[in-house]
Amino acid sequence: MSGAAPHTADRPSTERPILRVRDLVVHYRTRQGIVHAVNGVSFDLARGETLGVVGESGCGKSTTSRAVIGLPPPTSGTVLFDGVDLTRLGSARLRALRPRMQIVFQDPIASLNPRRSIRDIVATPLRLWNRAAGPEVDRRVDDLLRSVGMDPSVVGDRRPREFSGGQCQRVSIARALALDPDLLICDEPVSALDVSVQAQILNLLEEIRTSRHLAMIFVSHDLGVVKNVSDRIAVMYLGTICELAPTDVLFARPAHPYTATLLAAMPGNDAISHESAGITSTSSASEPPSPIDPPSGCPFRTRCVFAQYRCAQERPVPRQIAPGHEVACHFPLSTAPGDAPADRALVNE
Amino acid sequence: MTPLLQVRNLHATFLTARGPVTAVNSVSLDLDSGQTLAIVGESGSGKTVLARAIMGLDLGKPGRIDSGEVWLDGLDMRSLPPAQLRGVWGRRVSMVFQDPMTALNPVLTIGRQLTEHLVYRGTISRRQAEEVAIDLLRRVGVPDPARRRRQYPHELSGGLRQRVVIALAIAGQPQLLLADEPTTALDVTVQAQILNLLADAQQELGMAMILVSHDLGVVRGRADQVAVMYAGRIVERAPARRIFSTPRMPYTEALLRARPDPARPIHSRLEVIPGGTPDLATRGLGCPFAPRCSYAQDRCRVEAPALTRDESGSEYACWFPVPEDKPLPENLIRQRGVS
Repeated sequence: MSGAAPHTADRPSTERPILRVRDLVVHYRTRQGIVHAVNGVSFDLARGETLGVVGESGCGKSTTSRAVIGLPPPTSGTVLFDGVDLTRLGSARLRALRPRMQIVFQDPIASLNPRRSIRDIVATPLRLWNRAAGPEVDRRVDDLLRSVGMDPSVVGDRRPREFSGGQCQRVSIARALALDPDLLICDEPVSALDVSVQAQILNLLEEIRTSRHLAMIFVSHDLGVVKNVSDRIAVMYLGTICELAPTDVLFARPAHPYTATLLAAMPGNDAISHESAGITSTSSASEPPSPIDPPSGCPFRTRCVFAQYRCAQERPVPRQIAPGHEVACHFPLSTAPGDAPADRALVNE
Repeated sequence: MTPLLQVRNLHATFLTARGPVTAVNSVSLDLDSGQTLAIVGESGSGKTVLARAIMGLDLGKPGRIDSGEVWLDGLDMRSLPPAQLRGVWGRRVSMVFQDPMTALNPVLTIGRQLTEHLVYRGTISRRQAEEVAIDLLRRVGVPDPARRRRQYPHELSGGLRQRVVIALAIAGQPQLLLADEPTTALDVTVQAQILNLLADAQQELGMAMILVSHDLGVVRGRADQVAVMYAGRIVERAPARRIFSTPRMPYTEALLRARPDPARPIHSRLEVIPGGTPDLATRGLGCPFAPRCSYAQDRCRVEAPALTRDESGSEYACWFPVPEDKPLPENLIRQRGVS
């Protein structure tokens, strides 16, 4: 590939990645059988970098992001955080590392204790970890609240129910930042917010990432949102990463048929017709299969219009098709520059 | 020709501990047969209450319609007694709700729910109704309907459930379909399919449709007219094309600008609407959007503008509308050839 991926060059690639995930597997036992929630996921994440994780509900994107920090503990695989394998640590040593990895959840109101004041909520991590005492706690809390755009003298003594979803999400972010983490996991942080408030929170997260040089995993089902914040994007399907690429590359030249489908399904995507590009539109074949009984071979083959015999026989492993661009597909879409994704999907058909 | 649906000066209030909240504030609208009107607004803007009021549904304990009229093809919906309303529902007007799980009865198979509905609404036997049910399921894209009809809602995916809800809604061939956030609970790939299905059903039956959504992106290309609601009022209504190309109400413009635009470079700063949605219990004089509006002037804070029509057919409630020649950021970017 010629120099068509400008953002790979901007990434701090010389540094050791803060996070190195290899063959991550999370299985849940249920009465119906074993749910293959995450089925062998690998990726790296550098400081100051945001990895977007997208996919439909049930694809394992939330489980992946949470299993990285041991919530739930992975079934197998390794998670190297700053060189330490989290999956082999005992609970005490894992706990000692916890302040360095924080998470912001989807539902901003449910993730705050309704009986505590805003000041208390943000001060709790500082007290638990003895990071501050006495008046120092108040000073730190004030700083944190200001850094998320809230006035501590106005909001400090109020309770979560007195605030809107957007304001509560600011408090959640302030709490996550209290211990000065290296890694921030954002699990659908703006999905519960109104459009007019979403932009405020997205801008805030961007400011924080740049000013603190944070590594961020940003999980969302909304491709527009993910595109705006991510340096690279991992597209997940049925517990596996089917494509991982720098954001611009993924949008301009998706190589996996599923990625092309997702891009085509984006609401308001005028360039592409509303018919999904890579999958048939009316049958139930256009919904993901059950993670309890995933298909043989490629997980996407049951919905893929390009699927062939080999796709049912052999599970495609992720391979590099360009620097930083990995795809798990036996017959990736042509990645010649310049095609619109929909055109290409149709041509291949 | 009289429009199929006429809403005149509708007011709905909820009595809360903090005082009355006007959820729908002097809303008037017309809709012709076969046309689609999209109603877009953020949470609390009154869009769902408006849809329920049009349908003639109870607004819940503290809520009531204070005044206004709803006419559906010559029927005065507001003065119909409940028994007659039940005869109108399903046959003349139907509703598709946001959550397809709670819209279906969890302890009955989907086939049973459809046949019961058909027998109750029509003059056909149970046996005939079963055949019609299978046909309806096939029409809304439920695969293998003869087998699927024996399944319970929890055995179906969200997308399939919503297809069943749509089958129920169109079974009586209504003149008007109200779709309240029909795809909000669904994944993007399924979302496009359900919206296509609604459009196909509309075409086939010649229905009028009101598509309620919190997301302007979802209704893009799927409505003839778009009405934007804010704080219980319609603040702008225009042909769909104009809403997206030349919004006049600053709120509409701000909504279009606040959404991450895939055409913009990554890590670009989003244009923010300051503040949050207004508290309807403590609202004062003036335009409800004034505290968040970058165009607001003194007059906006003391006097609420009424919805007025301009030469081009757009209606908006604003003293200082966005200039018509002001380009939106995405248009700017496309003009410069950056993608």
